[in-house]
Amino acid sequence: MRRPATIAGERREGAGSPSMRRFAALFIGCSVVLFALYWISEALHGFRYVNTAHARATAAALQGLGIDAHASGTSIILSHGVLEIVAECTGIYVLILFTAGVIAFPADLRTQIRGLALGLPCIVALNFVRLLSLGLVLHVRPTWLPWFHEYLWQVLFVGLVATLFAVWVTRIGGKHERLVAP
Amino acid sequence: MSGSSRRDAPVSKPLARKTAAARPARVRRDLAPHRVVIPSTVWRFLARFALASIPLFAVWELWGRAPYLNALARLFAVTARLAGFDLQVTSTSAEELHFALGDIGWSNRFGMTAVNTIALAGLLLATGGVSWRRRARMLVLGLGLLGLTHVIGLWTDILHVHLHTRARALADGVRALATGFGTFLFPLLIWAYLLRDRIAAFRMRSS
Repeated sequence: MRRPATIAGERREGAGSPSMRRFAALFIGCSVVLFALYWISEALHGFRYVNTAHARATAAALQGLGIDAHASGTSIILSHGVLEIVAECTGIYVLILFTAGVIAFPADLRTQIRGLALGLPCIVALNFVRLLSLGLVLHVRPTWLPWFHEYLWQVLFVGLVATLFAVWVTRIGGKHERLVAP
Repeated sequence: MSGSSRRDAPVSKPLARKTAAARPARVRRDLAPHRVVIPSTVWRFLARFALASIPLFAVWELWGRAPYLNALARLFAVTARLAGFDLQVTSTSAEELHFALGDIGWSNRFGMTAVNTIALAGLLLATGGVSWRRRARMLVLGLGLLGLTHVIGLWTDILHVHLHTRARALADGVRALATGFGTFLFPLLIWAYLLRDRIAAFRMRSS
């Protein structure tokens, strides 16, 4: 089979190059280390404060939208059901992946810090919108909740983290045609 | 998107001022590097991802999920028996898988993990500059690899059965890594690996 078109020198310097392998190894290493740090906080019950804060903020925002909702610990209680905020609901996995990607990518420290400073709040905000939308769905059409929960959380967030990473790299590189070329 | 390279290229201030007289709108953007302009190719990528993943997700939920989980449970049981564990599949549904190992039984809500097949398919279909023939090959290979990670994820249940009384935090951590964090990590890794030439080209141009 004919190999896909590549730019000059890509085969030598690109796909299997030491720098790509270094990026891959760093990305996996950083992901695992950051996950381990998160898991230690989870095992020590330190992360439940983050879950509680998310529950409170989401309940407050739902109240602001005129929905009868209140937080009790890590639960958001609505008239049609309860949303339980666990660690995964805070977007921690996506935050870890984005951080690992930025750290592993060959860029200078200042650019990496800028990437994290812009990307991480963006992910937190998107996740908050997701939680809010789940609260709205539970209020309006509870039977749709499993669909929205799985699609918005599992599927769309994988696409979003890839997209956010692409945005950051295009901002530092300036040429982005090859990643998501039409 | 040929304009983007010019827009993002470093422009010295005197040159920028000089150019500003001729093309004020373009140069104003050059002089504001802090402003985040999302390239249209990225928007296109996100749009294609949504266009591919939403119908795929509907198909998955209506027809794909229960048969896939059933097949996955049977495959896992075969690998466990080959390794010497007398593992039985008690029942399967679109939500949960039920297993028994000796006198220990457990259920696994694996549907939430296995849905990452749609995420991977969406990423592979949304990435541009790839021929359809190659895309089809990558889909088969990628979904096969992801299926393998699902079997590995189920294997952490056996580890959990053995460790949950002695090292519960470790057992929970390994399980969360394989079936929670892995839900996000594995599709991204497989996508990056299968289309690594596209990403390598991207990286080279960026550096």
